[in-house]
Amino acid sequence: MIDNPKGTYDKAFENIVRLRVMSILMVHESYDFNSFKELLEVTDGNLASHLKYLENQAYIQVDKSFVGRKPLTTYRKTQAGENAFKNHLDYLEYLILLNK
Amino acid sequence: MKNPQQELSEIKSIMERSKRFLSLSGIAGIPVGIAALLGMALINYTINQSWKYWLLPDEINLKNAQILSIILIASITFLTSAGITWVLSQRKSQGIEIKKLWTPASKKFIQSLTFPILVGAAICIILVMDQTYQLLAGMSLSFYGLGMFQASDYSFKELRLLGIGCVLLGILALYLPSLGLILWAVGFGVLHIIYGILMHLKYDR
Repeated sequence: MIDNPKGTYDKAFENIVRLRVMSILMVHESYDFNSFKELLEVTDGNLASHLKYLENQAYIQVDKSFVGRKPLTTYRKTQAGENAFKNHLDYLEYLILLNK
Repeated sequence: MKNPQQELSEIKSIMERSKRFLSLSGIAGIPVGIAALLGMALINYTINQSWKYWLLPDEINLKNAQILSIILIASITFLTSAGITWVLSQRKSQGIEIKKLWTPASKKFIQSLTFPILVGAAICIILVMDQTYQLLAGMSLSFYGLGMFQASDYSFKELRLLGIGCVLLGILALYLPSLGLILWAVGFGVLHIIYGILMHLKYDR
């Protein structure tokens, strides 16, 4: 009954850290590096590499600033990232409908 | 690729966990409620000179010494409650580091709770200056309840019920000012104790 496959599976979200990062940025205007690290319980390097990947995909953008002397790095989703995530969700829902 | 249902629930789960401050101690409701009851009893004694009579007269005339005592008792009660909640929440979160309590979720929780409470406090100060004491209980309960209702989006959803309860008691207290102290005690005292017990039964087992 469902002829047109909806959505697209996005390889960017195949990795669970990247999936989680994108999910978080869907419900927060911005989110900072250390908060990601605490919540997701990953190492600095691991997190940094996944964030870089998403940045290279242009799914997220970085804002670097300072709080006094301490550097603060925050991230937000881009329109492209939001679209890609929603497409990915559509695809997951489509798969679930197929299996019913 | 994981199964799609699992992936969707994973997405939902991390969204919730990032959004909500869940280290907030639920059981803190019990000592907070008891502190509120004690504070109310002391305030009642300051006004009515009795431990048994809790109704407020239609016209409340207070001497400066009484006003100062009441402000002092209320402030100490409030600060003690906040302090107890803070300490118990710290013990609840996995580390004892203050950094772990201060997250984007807890910041949003505090922000959404503080704004209505500050507005309510400002209004209460003006009421005191105006000697319109009858409205204090209703105003403070209503603004606290409003704040709690909003803040529940950033913590436990059960706080929403606590907020609604306080607002209803606050509105009732505005309508029946002579019951002000009693409704204050029910809202800040009894409701918080019940909340604490329910949260403990639901989550801490």
